[in-house]
Amino acid sequence: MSEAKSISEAEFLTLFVKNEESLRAYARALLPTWEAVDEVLQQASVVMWKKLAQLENADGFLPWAKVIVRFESLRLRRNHARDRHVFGDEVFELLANEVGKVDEETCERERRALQHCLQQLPEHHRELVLAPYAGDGRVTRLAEEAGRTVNSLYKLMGRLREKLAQCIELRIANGGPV
Amino acid sequence: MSSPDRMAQTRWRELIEAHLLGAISDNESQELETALLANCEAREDFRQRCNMDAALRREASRLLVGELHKEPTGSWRPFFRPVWLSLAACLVLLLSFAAFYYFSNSDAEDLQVVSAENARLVNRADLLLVGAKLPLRELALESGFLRVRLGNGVLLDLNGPLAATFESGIKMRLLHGRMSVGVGSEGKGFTVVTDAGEVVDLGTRFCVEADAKGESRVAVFSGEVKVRTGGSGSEFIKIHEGEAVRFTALTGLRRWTEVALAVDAAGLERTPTKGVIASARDNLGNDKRHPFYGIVHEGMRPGALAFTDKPNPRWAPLPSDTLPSWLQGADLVRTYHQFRHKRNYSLTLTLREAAAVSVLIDTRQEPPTWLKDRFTDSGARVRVGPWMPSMAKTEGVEIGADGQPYVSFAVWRTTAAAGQFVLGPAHPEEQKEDSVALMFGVAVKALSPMSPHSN
Repeated sequence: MSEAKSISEAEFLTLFVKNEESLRAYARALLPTWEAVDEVLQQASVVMWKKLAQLENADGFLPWAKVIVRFESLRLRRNHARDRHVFGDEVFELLANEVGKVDEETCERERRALQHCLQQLPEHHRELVLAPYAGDGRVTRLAEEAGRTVNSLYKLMGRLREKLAQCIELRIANGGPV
Repeated sequence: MSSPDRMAQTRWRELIEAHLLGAISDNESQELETALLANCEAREDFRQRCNMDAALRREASRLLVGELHKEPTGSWRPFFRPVWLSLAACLVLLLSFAAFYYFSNSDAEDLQVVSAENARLVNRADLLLVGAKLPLRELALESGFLRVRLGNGVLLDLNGPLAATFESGIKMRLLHGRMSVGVGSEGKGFTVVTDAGEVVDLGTRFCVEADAKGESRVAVFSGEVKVRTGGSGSEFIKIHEGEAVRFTALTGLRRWTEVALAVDAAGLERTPTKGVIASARDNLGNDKRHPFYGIVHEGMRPGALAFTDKPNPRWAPLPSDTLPSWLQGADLVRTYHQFRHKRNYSLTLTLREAAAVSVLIDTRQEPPTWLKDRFTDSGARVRVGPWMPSMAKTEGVEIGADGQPYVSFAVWRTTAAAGQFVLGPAHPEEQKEDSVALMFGVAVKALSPMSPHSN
């Protein structure tokens, strides 16, 4: 890259790391699985790096990065069109537009509220809610230890997640410290 | 909100959770899509829960890293560095080639050259010869092939161009290039670090490749390794024989479907594989890049992993049954489940001698023409699973005693002469596009009981 950049390489790294969680949450709304999100983030980070000269200042990073993530998500969707859990074009466009416009402060408030709500759960429920992300057969192991089927554990997980979502909503609505 | 609205809200929230947990059925997915299209409240709920999902995943990663730091370290230390350093390293490699740096190394151990073919080191005019010793420091192989042995018996097959440094006899950093590693009991715990993460040997033979863009790829030929990325989603995952993954510091682990290695360069032919199958190659990709097929000698047994790109489904007899003796211990080809929809797919096996070829096919589908023409249904049935919970609602899926979904497969058999044997696509020509059928499996056994390739 021979042209001068407004954002330095070190600044780009800082911005990317700082906003990675928001970008992942955005991509999650557009893509059916975490594997797809990881792939898109990887591709998008390379594109961002190559097009860094387009970025005028740090404030514009997140909206600019979201556009790139949206484009890469669209590309991946085309390659996975046969996947029955990929949303149609119309829903994709609606989500991409609406989710992309939500301000970062709102998202950050929700994340902080989640931290608080997670701590309200008993430890074994907390472990269960986090188990699907461990990727090492943890849910199956927990089911075996509890003497339950995996299906019943997923149902309990769904109820706990609903509880967390409602806790977050309530905490934000009541203006609790977040 | 009125009562019907509240009911609708409760319903779409259930569907959103099922979607995020990967437990949603096809019909439910359609229902969710309809709700999202019709209701802005549903889309806002969806956004909030995706945000929550992402935050939960991050929290789980943080806890997992905490657990890993409590592991007994044995002969290696957990490798930790801030995410921004990992990113900086990746991006430096994006901009330039092979940056070298020195580690002071008071260890007098050398690398011994075991074999070499046109091996030329950077800054060294002559070719390397067998028996030469190299300092256990940095290694820059400009071209050719080099096999070296460390003092602990670890064997490294290096393919130029390659750049690496050694921190000790048990830990090295691969800056870029590809290599395969053969580790015996003395070298267990041997660690290869790349800018994307680290690979820890658990007693095995594996191949690792790092490229200048910051991606690394690992394929395990025998045994297993432990891999973790250097990014914020850092986690250790075991990669087993016949499996391959790719990863970067940013995005964690993904199953690797393309291998940027010719068979020879990967060292596969330098380590003669046992078994009746000399190779398995499909018609996808091009000369340089093709899917890596895990071939497991005598691998067909209860609990064997069925697919290269699926971590859970395993072959097993039907409940209260056993695998047929003619199938048990056959060499197993781990096919790619993601290729099940490819209409023009073909898989060519190269057989060292005459063999019985078994194709295991989903009983819910009409067998393809190529299978009916050349094979016979043996009548034997096996099952594969477990699958995702969402499969439980699909027609023809059985729920096992463990509460998880399994699918029955029919075993079709034929005999084949030595040489090439071609299999076709999973779906017959007239199959509907939205078919739920799965990819077939392949097992091959030498016909002669006296064969050196049979058990």
